Amino acid sequence: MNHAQADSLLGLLALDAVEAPDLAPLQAHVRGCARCRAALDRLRAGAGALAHGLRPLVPPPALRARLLASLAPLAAPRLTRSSQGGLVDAAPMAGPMALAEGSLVQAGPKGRLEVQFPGQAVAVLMDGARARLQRWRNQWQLRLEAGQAMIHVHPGQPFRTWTPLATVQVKGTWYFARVDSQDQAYVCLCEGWIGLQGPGLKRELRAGLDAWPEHLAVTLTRRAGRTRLRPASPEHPHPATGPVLDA
Amino acid sequence: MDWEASALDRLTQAKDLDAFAALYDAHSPLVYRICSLVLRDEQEAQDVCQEIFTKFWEKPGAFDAGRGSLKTYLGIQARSRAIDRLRSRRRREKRVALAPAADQSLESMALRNAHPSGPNALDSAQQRQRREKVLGLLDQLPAVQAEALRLAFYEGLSHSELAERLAQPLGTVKTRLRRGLGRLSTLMGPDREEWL
Repeated sequence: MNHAQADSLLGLLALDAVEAPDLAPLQAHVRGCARCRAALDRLRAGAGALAHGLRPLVPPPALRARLLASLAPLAAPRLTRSSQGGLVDAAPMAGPMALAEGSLVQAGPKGRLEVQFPGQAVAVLMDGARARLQRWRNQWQLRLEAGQAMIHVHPGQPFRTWTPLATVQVKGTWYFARVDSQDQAYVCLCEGWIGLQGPGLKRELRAGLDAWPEHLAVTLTRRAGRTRLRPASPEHPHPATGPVLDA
Repeated sequence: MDWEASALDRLTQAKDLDAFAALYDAHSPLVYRICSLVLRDEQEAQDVCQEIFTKFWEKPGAFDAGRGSLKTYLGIQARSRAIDRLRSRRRREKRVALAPAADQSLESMALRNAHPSGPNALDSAQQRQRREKVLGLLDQLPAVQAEALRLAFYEGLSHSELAERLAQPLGTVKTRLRRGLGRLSTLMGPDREEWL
């Protein structure tokens, strides 16, 4: 396409009105022609102004909700509240903040620290508990390295917590996990379904079945390199009885 | 740093959903308006609007602040994708052009009558001011140029569709658009940067 031919099509190009047979050669010419690029920029300024002539129209709220729900599992977790201090990557928490993959968060020695996983869950680390935030497939997971955490899962959403003994995949309302040592952990599910997976262990348990009518609790121990599971007495702190988090 | 630059930074650096939601709230009314005008179909307009913002979420770095405002960038994306969708639909339906329905006449799409203000209409003082200014600029163009611009911009017609709709040779259509845009750009004068 020569310069004169390209020049005659620039107005159409600025308005995305050029049809397929002419589009590729026109774009190729413009890429290599400074005069055409300058002219196109000027024409696009005029086209851009036309958008400002429109009266805005707020889209339906359902679209906003759908969009945010679809993106939530990809969004950064947020450290939202704490009491009695808290650390993020060994630095004192300065206030609510977004957390990146790999961040290490730690509650104060007698404090609590709340991490929100948008669209998935809210985790509250307690009494010096330490956890790292990780991606697992297309979701976030909590790598609980030490101490205890309460996890409230959004209805219908799965959420995974890693412990040195097993990963805990839950569909439920809320549950409690604690790492006592590298060889012992404790998990209490208050409602719903739980999947446990570790060396030599793969179990699915449901609250209300499997002989645990409610508050399903298990202790995980390591013996000969394998994770063992045994029933335990529920000993989770109820959220309503815990200290209130500072906003 | 203004709130928009700060939100964009939080989105780019940390995939902050709250920052994204604030940007969506600020710019989706224009994006949705453009999609609705081009597509004339509520469901398709929502689909394209969602597609645009999902892509913006995935690649916020594709927006270059040195080349214009975020509003203009998203507006261009909206128009471009809505037109793609429209042309794809037309190919499927094997229709070259859609005649406007009675309630979707060119007159009803004219900028000053684009839609009555309703509960959904968001219209800040600045936006009102800009809209009035665009209307004023278009009024200064010859009517045939303004009509060609409206058809191309808001209906997303391709060049052969424009020629057919206007019953004019292709060369005439090219000239009207080129002159109309050039004149519009000139009339914007030194304020041009503010619009982008």
